[in-house]
Amino acid sequence: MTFLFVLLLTVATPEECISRGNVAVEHAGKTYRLASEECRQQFLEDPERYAQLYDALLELEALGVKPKPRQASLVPS
Amino acid sequence: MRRILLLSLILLFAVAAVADDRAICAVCGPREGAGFEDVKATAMYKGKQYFFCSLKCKVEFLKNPEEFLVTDAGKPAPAFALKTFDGKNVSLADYRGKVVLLDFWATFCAPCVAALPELQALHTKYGKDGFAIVGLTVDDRAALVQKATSRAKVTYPILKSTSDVWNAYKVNALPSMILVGRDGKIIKRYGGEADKAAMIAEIEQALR
Repeated sequence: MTFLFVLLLTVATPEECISRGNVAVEHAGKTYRLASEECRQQFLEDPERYAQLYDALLELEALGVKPKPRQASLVPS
Repeated sequence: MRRILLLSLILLFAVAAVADDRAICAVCGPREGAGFEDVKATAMYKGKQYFFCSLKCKVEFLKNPEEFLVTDAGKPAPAFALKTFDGKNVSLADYRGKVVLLDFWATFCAPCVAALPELQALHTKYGKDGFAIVGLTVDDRAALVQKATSRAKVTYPILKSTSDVWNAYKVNALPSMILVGRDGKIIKRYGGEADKAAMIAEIEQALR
């Protein structure tokens, strides 16, 4: 239970992942620079979705909109 | 010259009338039906395309698409207590023991407005059997709501909803209707332009 709780709080958000870090991942001829290996693994689980998500986040950033990372919920669903 | 001036004035009023029907995006998310608002972003998920009224909504959707495409049949319908446009208090608890169709709509959603007469017909037809429709709108422009509902001769309550209620029902697309059973549990969620024949069959089933 404690392990799950800690895991929930340490999962990187997409906003944290797309921080132009040192970990690269390629998808559909495009290279994404991610914050960590954990982010890369997350991306590889569903590349089509994450590529669209990161493209949209980068587009928001280019427009000057700073997306806020979601707060970890402490309420069990 | 006078004719040109007159034509320009008519054109100006026509543009103003169309502009009045447009509204800022109150609800974002995947749409199945034709929306009135401009599509600002699209995303593909499991081979299906979804349309959004803002890039931020697209981001929220892509973070957890399954949360948006939730099916909550069998779960208790979240309680609410709201006011009608004429100040009358209405709560979901008032309808306990009845089959209720919650219609989440807005005047800027063309398919929602087009559905009002059909919904009223259902409310009238099945009312005696214990069926009721409750309309919930986040549109606070009373005049436009009044215009749309009186044109459709709506007699069921139209509630001034809050975003909390829409969020509690996970409404992220318009039109959106939720059928609640006599036991207060959600039977079915209808997104986009619903299959009316199937909806009527499900209402009749719930009334048995």
